[in-house]
Amino acid sequence: MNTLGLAIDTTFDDTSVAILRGRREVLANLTLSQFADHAEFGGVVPERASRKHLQVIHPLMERALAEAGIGFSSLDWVAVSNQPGLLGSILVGMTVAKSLAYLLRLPLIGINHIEAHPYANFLVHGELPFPLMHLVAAGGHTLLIHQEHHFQWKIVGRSVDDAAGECVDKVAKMFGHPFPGGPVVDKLALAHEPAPHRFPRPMLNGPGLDFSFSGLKTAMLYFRRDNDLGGSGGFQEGPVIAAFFEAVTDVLITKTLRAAEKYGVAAVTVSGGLAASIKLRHGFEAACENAGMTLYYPPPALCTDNAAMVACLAAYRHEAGRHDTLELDGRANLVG
Amino acid sequence: MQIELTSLDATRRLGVALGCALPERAIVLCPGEMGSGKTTLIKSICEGLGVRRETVISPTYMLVNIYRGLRPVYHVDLFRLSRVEELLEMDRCDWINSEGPTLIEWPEIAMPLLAGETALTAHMSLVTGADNHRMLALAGDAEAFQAVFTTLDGATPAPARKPVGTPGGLRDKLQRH
Amino acid sequence: MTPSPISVLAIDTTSEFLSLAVRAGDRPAASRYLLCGNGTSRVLFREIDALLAEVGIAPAGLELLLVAVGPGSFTGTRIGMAAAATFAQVTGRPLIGVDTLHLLAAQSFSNDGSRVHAVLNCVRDEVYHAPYVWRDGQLEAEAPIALSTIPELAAAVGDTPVVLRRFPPAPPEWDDDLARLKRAELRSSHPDGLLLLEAGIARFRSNRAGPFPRPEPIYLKSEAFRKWSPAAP
Ligand SMILES: Nc1ncnc2c1ncn2[C@@H]1O[C@H](COP(=O)(O)OP(=O)(O)OP(=O)(O)O)[C@@H](O)[C@H]1O
Ligand SMILES: [Mg+2]
Repeated sequence: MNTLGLAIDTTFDDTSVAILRGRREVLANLTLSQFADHAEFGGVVPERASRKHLQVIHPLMERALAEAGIGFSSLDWVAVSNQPGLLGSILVGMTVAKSLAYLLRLPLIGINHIEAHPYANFLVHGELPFPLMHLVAAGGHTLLIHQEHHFQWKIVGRSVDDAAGECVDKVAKMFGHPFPGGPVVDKLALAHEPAPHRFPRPMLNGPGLDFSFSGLKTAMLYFRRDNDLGGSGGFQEGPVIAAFFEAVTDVLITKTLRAAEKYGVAAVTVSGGLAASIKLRHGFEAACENAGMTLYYPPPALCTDNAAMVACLAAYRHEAGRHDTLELDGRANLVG
Repeated sequence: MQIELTSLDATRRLGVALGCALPERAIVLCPGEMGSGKTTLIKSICEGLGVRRETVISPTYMLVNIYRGLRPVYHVDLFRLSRVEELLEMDRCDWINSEGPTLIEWPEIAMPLLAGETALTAHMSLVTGADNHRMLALAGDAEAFQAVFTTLDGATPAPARKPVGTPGGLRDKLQRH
Repeated sequence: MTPSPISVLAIDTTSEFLSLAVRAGDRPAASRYLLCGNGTSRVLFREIDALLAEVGIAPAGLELLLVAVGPGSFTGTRIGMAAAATFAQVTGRPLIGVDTLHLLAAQSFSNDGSRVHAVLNCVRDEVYHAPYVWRDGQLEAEAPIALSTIPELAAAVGDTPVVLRRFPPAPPEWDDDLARLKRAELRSSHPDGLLLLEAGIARFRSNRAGPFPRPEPIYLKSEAFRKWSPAAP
């Protein structure tokens, strides 16, 4: 069943539109931040494009349709992330999606952005064997999700203070790199042997599956305060950052495998912005091979927020007839 | 009012007491450098407001977390905003709670929009030479935050106790110590 | 020669009221004005659908889209604009934006030469306002929209009658100051979608050839905010 669907994501800073044929043929996958020149998108200044969804979404849709070589009338369904995020942002994407569904008489599918992240893996690897343990390391959340089937999933571990990616970005900033510094940290970690210093691995020894990274952030703060970098006898930045990132990856990998074991799962997936880290990926590859666990990893472009993963989950929802009405509500980042 | 918090536990006790004593729709500004303990303190303030402690996470990426407590609690973090316009393009009710308290980390950029609000400032800072100590400077309108100041004035470090669900209950306990 | 009637949908979601109006050719226009707080997104399409059915027109039959662009609730304004812009994009029809102060002023009687000052509170201690004059049945803005304190407003308004709209949280201490302003007599008790229809169609007729600039939401900022930068103390 080769349906054509359009998906929109405006839950966070970026504006994203994708067009999908069937379950995983991506005909277009556009996020505003991937364009250096925003003239085509209403002239928004790139570094000020955060949450400018209303200004850019229509030109972005037009461009996506052109890339896919289709018109609105070819679409079979429309999907939109309706949670979690900033309500004011979500409502823009949701209203556009509802308008399309209404005008074109198409089914509307509301998607949980978090549930969609692992579908970056379904997009590129095809059907994955359930049950699965997903690590989602996205901007504001670090989550372990146990999924028994499509639409049947449960969060079994979560960050209780700073998310992993947030910790990495903040530590990079402490070392003088512009925010967000995730990519810089990955580069340094790849290029250097970790310094002998062993930074804390918060909650690694506890029995639970939750994550805590603020202690590691604080340890780095103290370290930065108490040590000279680069001087003779002092520490070199590269090895220190490598040792720091080793602590982050250690926690993420160990907890994910522990969760998989606990739930009797033989395959894990990784997704979310931090999954773009090559160092983390290498770590996961080695650990999963050791543990005899199957590992699924998306390409970097599908790790960060994008509407293609939203579209992929929506295609499954569409096939299952799980549609929403035009009264679909947006849900803010309501925790607890 | 300056209070030295000599352990995580001390921060927790003070935070819970502060949360219990907050006026209904208080705005609490939490400036302080990275890692100074703003989120850690707010976790306990939220606990005092009837929010489950584990649900309180850093809103640096999401900008606004909304928790279910006795009333909804807004936990805001403006670290990632670089221009006041980014806030001006949000409705005020999207980041200032009209039904309950609002706790704001990295509030500096919002100051021009908060002129005229009676806010409590809870400034956290590191203490040199004592890694598990933090200095908390509390400032705010004496009348509007009278309950906060009187509660905390009398609150000498008490032994660790289980978190208490209702503010009334905790205040009673604090007074008994 | 009177211009041929066209089919038009007008959407105003800038306040806690959802305001819609539709006209299908030469049939009488129909409108909706309902309080929906922050539930606009939930009811918008149900209401549009009911309204289009009422006048017997399909969305594809619309020839012009009109939308209120603020000032007002930012989220509300974005909902209406996102919907109207998507309607325009899918149908390939023009979209025209009208600001909310114009719609307030349009509540007054259109006696030739009569002046009116539209006033709207959106920010805690400031109001949006602008002066208008009726000429040949058309409302013309005499100055751009300004954001002012109440004393500044009183000075700017003078004896001109005002159309005033208040949204919470308008501080009650304004009551006395605002009571002193002279009120305009109104032909419409609220800024109904029909007024948006009237204003938008007039704009469309005066610029038949187009093109129409893409409507931008109005996010006015006061001088104080504009001057303030993170670098300043
Ligand atoms: N007495 C104390 N009170 C509060 N935090 C303490 C104390 N002693 C140690 N800490 C540690 O300091 C760290 C504070 O981190 P936290 O994330 O709360 O800081 P923050 O000010 O919110 O940082 P950011 O600017 O990144 O938001 C935690 O790891 C906490 O365990
Ligand atoms: Mg914090």
